[in-house]
Order: sequence, then C-alpha cells, then structure tokens
Amino acid sequence: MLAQVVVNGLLQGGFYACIGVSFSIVFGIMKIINLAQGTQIILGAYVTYATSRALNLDPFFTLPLSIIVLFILGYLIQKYVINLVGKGGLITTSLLTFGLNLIFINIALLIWNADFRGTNPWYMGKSFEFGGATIPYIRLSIFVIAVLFTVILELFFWKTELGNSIRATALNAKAAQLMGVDIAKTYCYTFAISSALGGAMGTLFILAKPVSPFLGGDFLVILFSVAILGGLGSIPGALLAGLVLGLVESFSVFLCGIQYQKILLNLFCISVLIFLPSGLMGKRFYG
Amino acid sequence: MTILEGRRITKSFGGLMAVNKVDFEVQEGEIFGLIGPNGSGKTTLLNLINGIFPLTEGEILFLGQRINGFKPYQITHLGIGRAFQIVRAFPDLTVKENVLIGSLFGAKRRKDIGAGMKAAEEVLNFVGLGARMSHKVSEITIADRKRLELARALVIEPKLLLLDEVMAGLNMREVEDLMHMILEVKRRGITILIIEHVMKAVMGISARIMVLHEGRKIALGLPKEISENKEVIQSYLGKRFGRRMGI
Amino acid sequence: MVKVGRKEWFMIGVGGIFFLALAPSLLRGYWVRLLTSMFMFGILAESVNIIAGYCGYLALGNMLFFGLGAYIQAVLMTRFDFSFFLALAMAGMGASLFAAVVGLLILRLRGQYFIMGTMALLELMREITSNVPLTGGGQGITLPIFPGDVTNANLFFYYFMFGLMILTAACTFYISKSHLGYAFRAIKFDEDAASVMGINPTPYKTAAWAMSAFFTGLAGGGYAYWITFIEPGEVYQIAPSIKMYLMMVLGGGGTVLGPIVGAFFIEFISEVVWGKFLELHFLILGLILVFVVIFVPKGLMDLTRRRFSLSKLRAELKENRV
Repeated sequence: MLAQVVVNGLLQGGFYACIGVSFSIVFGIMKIINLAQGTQIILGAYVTYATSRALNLDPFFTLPLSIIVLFILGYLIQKYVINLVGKGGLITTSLLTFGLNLIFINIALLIWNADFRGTNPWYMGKSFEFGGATIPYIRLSIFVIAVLFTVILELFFWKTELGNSIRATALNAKAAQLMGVDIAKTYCYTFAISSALGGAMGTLFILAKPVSPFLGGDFLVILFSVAILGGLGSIPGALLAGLVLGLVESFSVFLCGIQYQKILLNLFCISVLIFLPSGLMGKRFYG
Repeated sequence: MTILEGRRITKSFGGLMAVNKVDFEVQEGEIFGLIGPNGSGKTTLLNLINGIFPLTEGEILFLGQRINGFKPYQITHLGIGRAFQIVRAFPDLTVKENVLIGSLFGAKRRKDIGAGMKAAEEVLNFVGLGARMSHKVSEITIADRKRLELARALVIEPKLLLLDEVMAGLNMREVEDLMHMILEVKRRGITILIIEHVMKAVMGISARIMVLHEGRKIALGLPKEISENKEVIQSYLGKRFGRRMGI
Repeated sequence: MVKVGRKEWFMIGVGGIFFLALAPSLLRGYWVRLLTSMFMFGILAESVNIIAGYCGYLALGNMLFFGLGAYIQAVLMTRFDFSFFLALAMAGMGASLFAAVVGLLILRLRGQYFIMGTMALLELMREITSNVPLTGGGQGITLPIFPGDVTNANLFFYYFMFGLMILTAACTFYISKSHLGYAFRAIKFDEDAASVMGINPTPYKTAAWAMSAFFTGLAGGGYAYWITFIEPGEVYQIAPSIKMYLMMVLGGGGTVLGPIVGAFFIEFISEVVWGKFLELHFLILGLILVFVVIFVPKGLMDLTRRRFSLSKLRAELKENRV
C-alpha cells in the first residue's frame, strides 16, 4: 500500500515538475505570471486529440506536432501581444495573460465544446507489478518523458548560445542588451519554449485522462507551487519540487481522502508562498 | 555627546562582504563625512543605519539605544532622516505632497492634513523649493530633486540626518548653495552624516571624516589628517589631490 | 476635446444620482435588474480599487470575500433564522475580520506572490465550502424568498446595491482625501521608501484589505438574498474576480469614480454579449481585457483629465514595449 502511494506520488510528480518548469521559466526570466499556461497545456492536449483522430495516429506520435504548434503560438503571442506591454507592470501583464486564457478557452469551446474529450490508446489501463505497486505503462512513460524534457531543457539553458542569452537576460536585461542580446526576441523564444513544453505535457496528459476547455485553471495552483518551491529559474529545483508535491499530494489523499485533494493542494501552495518563498534550496539574497 | 555609534558593523550579501567590522562614533551636532571609492560600502552602511538591511554582525546605537533590527519606520520615528542617492520621491505626487507624507507620518502630526501641509511648506521654503510646490516631481530639475530629497528628510524633524551624495550631478554654484543649506541645518542643531564624492564640499564642511575602502574603515580623523593619509591617497584621493590641497 | 473639470463632474454626479434614484419608476423590470447588477459590480470594482488601485496589492482573488459574505448571509438566514440586515452586518464584518486575520500572513507577500496567494485562497475557500455540511456542500444553499412581489423585490435590491455603491464610493473618497490615501499610495509606489518616510505598512495594508473585504462581503450578502440560491462554484469564481479588475483598470485605478464608470461600461457590454453572443462570451471578455491593458492602462478618468492624443498613446506604448 505504502509503495503504491509513493509510486503514484513520484509518477505524478514528474509530470508536475515539467509543467512547473514551463511556468517557472517565464516567471523567472520575464517576471510574468502566465495565467494562460494551464490552458496552453490543454490546447496541446486538444492538438493531440484532433490530429490523432484526423490522421488515425496513435496519439503519442502527435507529440512533435503539439510541440511545434504551441511553440509557434507562444512565439507569436509574445511577439505581437505580450511584448507590447512587457514592461507595463504587474497588473497589466497579469490581466493580459488572463485575457489570453479566456480567449484560448473560448476557442477550445467553439471547436470542441465543453464535453470531456479523451484519447483511448490501446495501452491505456495496461500496467505491471513492481515492489508491491501497480505501475501503469502510461504513467511511467509520462514520467520518463517529462523528466527527460526537464533534463534537455536544463542542458539547453547551459550549453547553447540561445540558452545562455536567455539566462543572461534573466540575470540582468540591461547588461545583456549591451552585450548584443536582442531582448524582445529572447523573450519570444522563452515564451515559445514554455508554451511548447506545456503543449508537450498536454499531449502526455490526454494519453491518460480526458480534457475539457476549463481544466487549465486547475493546473494553476500546481504551477505556482512547483515554481516557487523549486526556486525561480532553477530547473533542478523545479524537478525536486514537482516530486515533493507529487508525494505530498499522494500521501495526503491517501490519508484524508480524494475529496480533499484540492483543499490540500491550495493549502500547500499558500504554505510554500509564506514559508518557503525562496524555494527548497532557499538562497535568501538579502538577509 | 555621542549620538550615533557603530560597533563592528558587518554586512555580507551571500559571499560578498559589503561592510567589514566598521567601528565609528558620531558626536552630536557635528558634520561627519563619509568618503571612499565606489562600492566601498558607504551607501550600504547608511542602509544599515536606516534599518533597510539587517546587520550580519555588530551593533548600531542611536542615543545609547540599540537600533539594529528595528524597521525603517521605527528608526525614522526615533529621529533619523535619510536623503537617498537615487531620488526616491513618489512620482505621482506633487513636490508638496511628497514632503507632506514625511510630515504626516514621520513627525508627530499624524492625521491633520492641514498642519502637515504647513510643515511641508516651511521645509520647502527652507530648501528653496517654495516656487515649485505644486509641480510634479517629473517636471523639476535634478538640482531641485536633490533639494526635494533633502526636504523629505528634514520634514520628519530628525536629530540625525543621513545625506547620500546629495551633490552628485550639480554644478559649482548649486554645490555651494547646498553647502550653505547643510551648514544652516547644522546650525539648527541637527547632526549630519554626509556621503560625498565632491571633495571640496565634504572636506570643507565636515568636522571629521571616515574613509571606507572595500567595506573596511581605513581612516577616521580630521579632514587635514585624512588628506595626508598615505593609504587614503593611494586608494582613493590620488597624489594629485594631496598636492592640490597644498600639502 | 472637451475639458471636464471639477464643477462639471460634480454636476454630472449629482444629476446621475438623481436620475438613478428615480429610474425604477421609469424603467421595466429587466433594466432595473441590469442596473442593479451594474451597481453591484460598481461596489466590487471600487472595493478592489481600495486594496489594489490605491494600495498596490493586487488581490486578484478578492472574489473570495464575495463568496464568504454570500455564505455567511445564507447560513445565518437559513440555519439560524437571522433577519436579512443582521445577517448582512455579520457578512460584512465576517469578511472584514477574515481579511484582517488572513492578512497577517498573506499581506507579507509582495507582487506576484501576493497575486498567487489570493488566487490560491479563493480556490481554497471554494473547496472548503464545497466540502462542509454546514454550507450545504456542493449542492448550495437556498435562501428564503424576499417577501412581497417581484416588483418590490426588484426595487429593494436596486436601492440596496445603489446605496451600497454610494457608500463604497464615499469611503473611497474619504480615503483619497485623508492621510490613509497618502499612506496607501506611498506603499503602492515603494513600500520600503514609505517605511523610511515613517509609514508602518502593516496596519495600513491590513486596513485597506479589511475595508475592501467589508464592502465586497456586503455585496455578496445582498447578492445571496437577491438571487436566492448560491453554490460554491458560482460565488467563489475567478472570472468575475478578474472582471472587477478590468473594470477598475478601464475606469482608472486610484481614482474615486473610475471603477464605477468602468463597472457600468463592462457590465453593460457583458449583458449585451451574454444576450446575443453567448458562445463568444469569454472570447470577447478576453479581447477587451487585452485591449484595455494595452491601450487604456491608466483608465478613462485619466483620459478625460488630459487631452487624448494619438502621439501620447504611441509614446506610452513605446515606454512599455519590450
């Protein structure tokens, strides 16, 4: 029983970590809280739903497509909308992203209406036993891929030129600009990557569960928690935070019951905000 | 009588030692100068006195009372005023309203706006901004903004005034005007701790000067002693200054 | 462009109040209810103005006080047989007290963290309410029906929301002219500099949020009795919460009348859209949000104060552009 709780927590945690990362990079680098991120994840799921049905493909293979579509979407939005008022202050950017959120939700509503839509891949429900726990193949694959993406992203930020310029912009935009970095473009890539990652996670999500246009909002509290707990801008931190959140959720649901899941998630988020605002590896810079 | 005393004041940010075991005391009624190269910890020291940052180690005593650990508003209420290097006036408000805030919350008048306005006007006239009272902060010159900073610090009726590079960016005439103003403030019994790079000004009005270099105190004494101090000359003033001062 | 000065505003204000006071006798039920709704959002937008527009703390989840007020009202009236006005008083004070207590922890957060905190708090309250038997859980609560016929009910709630809106605006006006207003604005611009100026931010922030919660809670209480049935998902909703902010921004945050003007605008549009373009409702709201924050960030009140010019708009856009 205990093993199952731990396994569930870890598997879910990997997913949480990756979606948390997608939110965290925009927050850490551009200081914007993207309230549309949850719905962008759902849009990725819808891309998978639509294309796998249209092309009669196993939904898993639509992963590259959702990545590309959401990348382009993110890039365009940053370039033509968010960059217009990127320096406009917190209320501006927050309301802006929420406005985008509403637009995305409505688009999904118009195309697919409010019913839950799911893919039902042949491997759904199939699992194996290990160490006293039942491990569904889907969940394990989602976990592995999510962690893989996280690692790839970390390498990207440290080993590539674009990644380095993004990090430089996060640390000191003015200095980076003097070194020749095009801030506007960097932001576009950052938002695009965040969007693409979200889209990929959406694809993985719909392999296991159905989606509806309003589901994105439920992700927000998870995004907040993982981003803060992991420490802004730290991908390894977000990974750890995601796993912690997954385990905490799994244990508390086991102990208190599934109906209290959302209550516990929100309490967790608020606690993290109040007690661990600098994250698990809290580096408090100004005493 | 000692109005401000710092003992082993130390502040580190992560690995960076901004202020390193600095000891000093300021006598009541004097003008105490604080000089040193950029990054030597002068502004940080002021921020520590004001309570904006907590100390890593050491103590600060004001009129015999330990104030390290107090919040900025508490320190202001005790009677320490601060003029910032980067003017932190509230841009949406007029010049008068900016000073009004200090008179409402810094000094004893709490709720009476009328009395607060009167006090604000007095201070603004003193610093020479009488004609600019209804102007927005964005509409006045740099020199006037510096005077506004001074006014904001004075209106809280401080016993000790901390001035951070109030003369930066001013021409010679404006520097002289400000020097006279500071001397007048001193004449009214307010102790002044002044950070300055304009040597002529700080050497001219300070009774004693402390020199910081890379967070450490390297000298403290009369202006003449400081200008002759080898280490100070090496690290900050340069040999030419010593010659120019005729030493 | 016509320059609208103090005197003109005052006359418009008085005229408006006069007209609105007499309106129910001239209009059909539908319009009376629409105006009531507009007044309610006026209250909500103005309340949000106190904590966010003046004090700079963006409590995006402020709807939580609406829900709290609504539920206090409902529970007291149904389970404990309170009268409307007594329950209402409890609703307002309860919400206010909640803000003060929760504020001890939450108001320590700044900027984005505070936003996230209030959003999580809103969701938390919704979920708790859905799981507690006292509140009827997810099934909601049905309140006693207003005694008398429909017309009387319409009139009652019309004047209720109208009066509350005037009260909220009056409170905001008082704030803007008093030392509270200066403290709030100082905290909004630079909380640390405000502290150096002698302002202890904590009691002021708490007062701002408590006042905001008070009026929002009263509106929630009135709403519960008006609509007669409430459920957690409806009164603890994020979309109206954001809508309040849109109204505040459109009208002008940090002004007294701005949020009310914004509320009238947006609620009217909302009503039209809801009637004719229901399936595009979110899309249009989203587009308006995006449009307003890009092109009218300082609000309509600010536009009327100075001459509107395309070049000024372009200059402002350039400033905010990344």
